[in-house]
Formats: sequence, C-alpha cells, structure tokens
Amino acid sequence: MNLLKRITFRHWAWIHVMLAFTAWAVLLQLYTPVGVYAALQEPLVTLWTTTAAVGGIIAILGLVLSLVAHARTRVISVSVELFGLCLALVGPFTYTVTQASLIAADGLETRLALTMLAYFSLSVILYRIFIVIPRFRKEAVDARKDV
Amino acid sequence: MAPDLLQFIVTTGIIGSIITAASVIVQVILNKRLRTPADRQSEISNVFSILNGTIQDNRADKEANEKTISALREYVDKLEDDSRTDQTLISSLYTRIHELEMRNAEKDRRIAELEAQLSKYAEAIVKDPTLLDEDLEQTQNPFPLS
Repeated sequence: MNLLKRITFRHWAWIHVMLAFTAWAVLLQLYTPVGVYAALQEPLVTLWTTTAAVGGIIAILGLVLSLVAHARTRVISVSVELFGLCLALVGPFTYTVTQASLIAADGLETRLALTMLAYFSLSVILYRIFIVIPRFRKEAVDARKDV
Repeated sequence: MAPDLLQFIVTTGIIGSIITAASVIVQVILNKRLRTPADRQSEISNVFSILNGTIQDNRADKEANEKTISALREYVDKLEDDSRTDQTLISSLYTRIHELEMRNAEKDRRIAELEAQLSKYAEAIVKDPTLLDEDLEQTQNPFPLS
C-alpha cells in the first residue's frame, strides 16, 4: 500500500501509456490485421508482439521498482526499465516498417495515417529511453566514477 | 517492398532490440555494483577528505622543516662565532639547510597542485549538482519539460 501511495499522477500517466502500449501489442497478437499477417507471417507476428508486450510489462515493473524506498532497488529499477523499453521498441518499430511497406500495395490513403501513428508510438518509446539513459549511465554504468 | 525484405528488416530489428536489451543487463553485471546517491556522496567525500588530508600532511612536513632550518641556522651562527670550529662541519650544515629549503619548495608546489585539484572537484560539483543528487524523481518524469 505504501508503494501505491508513492505513485504520483505523473507516474500513473506513464504507467497508463505503457499499459495501453502492452494492450495494443496483445490485441495485435490476438486479432492481427490481415495486411500485417500477410506481410509478416505468423511466427514473426507472434515474436514481435510477444516481445513488445513483455517489454511493456517489464518497463512498467521498472518504473514501479523506482518508487521502492530501498536505495539499491531504486537504482536497479533504471536498468529494468531500460531493458523493458528496449524490448518494447520492437513493437512500434515493426509496425512502422510494416505499415510503410504496405503503402505500395494499399495506397497512401489507407496506410499513411497508420504509418505516422506507428511512427508516433515509436517516438514516444524512444523519448522515454532517452530520458532513462542518462540516469542509467550515471548509476549503473558508472561513467563518472572519477568525480 | 518485397515480403522477404520486410521480414529481413523486421527480424533484424527484433534481434537488434533484444541484443540492446541484453547489453543493458551485461553492462550492469560487468559494473558489478550499482551506485546509489549515498554511494556517490561518500565517494565524493572520500576524494575531498583524501585531498584535504594530503594537504594537511604536506603543511605539517613543511612546518617541521622550517623549524629544523631555523634551529640549524642558529647552530651555524654559534659555530661561526667560534674560531675553533671545523669549516667542513659548517659547510655540511649549510648543505643540509639547502636540502631542507629545496624540500620545502617541493612541498609548496605539491600543496598548490592539490589545492588546484580540490577546487577543480568543487567546481565540477557546482557545475553538475546531480553528482550529489538525492532525488531520483527527475528522470522518472516522462515529460520533464512540462
């Protein structure tokens, strides 16, 4: 319960983003659009949607761990979150590439908006990765041990 | 885009992401220990205390040398007043005084170096206060500019 009290609105907002992302990956696995399925085939679709969903869950876990009072757990959380985000990146990356590749077959009107939406979700994940990396370098990789 | 090419790009992307994720874990394992803000603070305090301690030691040595020099000078003055004194002894005492003065000059240079190093570290902390940052919240904000 203490942990729940520590989660601020800001954290809830980001957890919501990652939950929505994870749900998107799971739904894509369960109800794969015909075009995506035809372009990638089942094993590849299963691989990238599962990787993205697992990554999303791990990223949420990392964020929640960062709210734990124990100092070392908080430091480990940044590595967990970055690990999850790297895996999650597979989802929007694959979706962007797939939608872009389908432009030739289905036309700009059908696929361009979806491609840009996929690119937007890719940017959101990258944005968070670039926020997390400096803290990871500082606490986990120990790049500034000299000072 | 040909399906084969698309599948190749997607597979490469998936493998790349998994390798990147694995490299995060490898870096953590290679680093052996993760640094908490308290660790960083104690490391910085250690650096400061070592530098300050070395400066103090050098100052103490210099002071002791100065006392010895002054005692030796007094002794040499007395010896010079006495006409029976062996000049070789006086000369060796002057050599010893000169050695001590050289050593003091070296101590001065060392103290200046250490003080410069100390102020460099202090400046680094002023420029980047996150070195002493206890607040991990800053990077947990997904939208820090808002």
